[in-house]
Amino acid sequence: MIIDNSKKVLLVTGSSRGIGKLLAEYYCSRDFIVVGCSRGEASFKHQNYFHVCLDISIEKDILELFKYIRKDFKRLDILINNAAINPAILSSVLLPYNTIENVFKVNVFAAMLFCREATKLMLRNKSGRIINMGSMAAKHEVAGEALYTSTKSALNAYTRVLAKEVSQMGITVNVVAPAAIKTELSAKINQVALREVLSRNAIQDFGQFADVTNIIDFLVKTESNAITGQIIYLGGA
Amino acid sequence: MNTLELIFASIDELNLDLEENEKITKTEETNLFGSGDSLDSLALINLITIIEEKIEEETGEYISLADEKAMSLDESPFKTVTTLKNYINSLINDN
Repeated sequence: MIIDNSKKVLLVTGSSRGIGKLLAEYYCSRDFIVVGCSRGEASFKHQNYFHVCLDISIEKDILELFKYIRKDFKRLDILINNAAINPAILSSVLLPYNTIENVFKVNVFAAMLFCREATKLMLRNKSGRIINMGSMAAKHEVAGEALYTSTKSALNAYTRVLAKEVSQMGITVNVVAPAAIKTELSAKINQVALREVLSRNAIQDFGQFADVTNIIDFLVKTESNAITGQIIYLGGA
Repeated sequence: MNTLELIFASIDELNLDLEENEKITKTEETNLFGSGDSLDSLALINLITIIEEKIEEETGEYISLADEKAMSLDESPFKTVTTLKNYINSLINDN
């Protein structure tokens, strides 16, 4: 395999569906090398796209992915921690321990491991951009969403501290928290409840995918090297 | 390359990026972590990362130096070049 080492390499988690897939397709079309990962096979093909099947709740799988990136691509410029799970809305009183553990493993622990390994790779070029995908849930604190909300709040806090730890390495870390976007995943959510949560935003309609790429394009620009540790809520949550 | 040579090669690589007064001395007694004249956190992270990469180049295996075992030891394996050398050897033997 011949890889063009002049192209920027972007890693996005959860790239087989939803926003992750849209981001992978978008940055492939922008001539980035995109490495995506998910439990299942790739759901699209592109000459710039390289897919890895893995379970991000298993550290060994994550280490293997980074070994592959180090070996085949030699660099990593951008990490987008997108993969997350959101169990059915359920009262905190009824949450089983295994559910709590699994959601934290995917939404928080995996994101932390991806940040750790990405930072080591980004150190090679003393530059990098890490985007952790957040949620308006962390702002609105919706009843029944305690588990998901607490994982996203943890990710917010982690991002702000990590930003301080890696700033000297030329790496920025930010959270982008989109308003709900119409995808096959959001279509499965209770639409009445979703509308109610959206009504708490300054902009009460669904967000657009272009809103997400607009802010990520801005954050990954070289000139955005002073923007770090920020939690950016799209739609005005 | 033995482990000490690998650490020294990593120090050489790191020193390329450091100012003259920050350069790390290549001795087995060099303090890396936890004492007054040890490395700052950024230099230590850089050094550990370079060493991990060199181990992977040499052995084909990725070994995380800052693992649970390292965190639980009474004496940090990152204290000096010698403690780091011994720790790396123990990890390679365990692997």
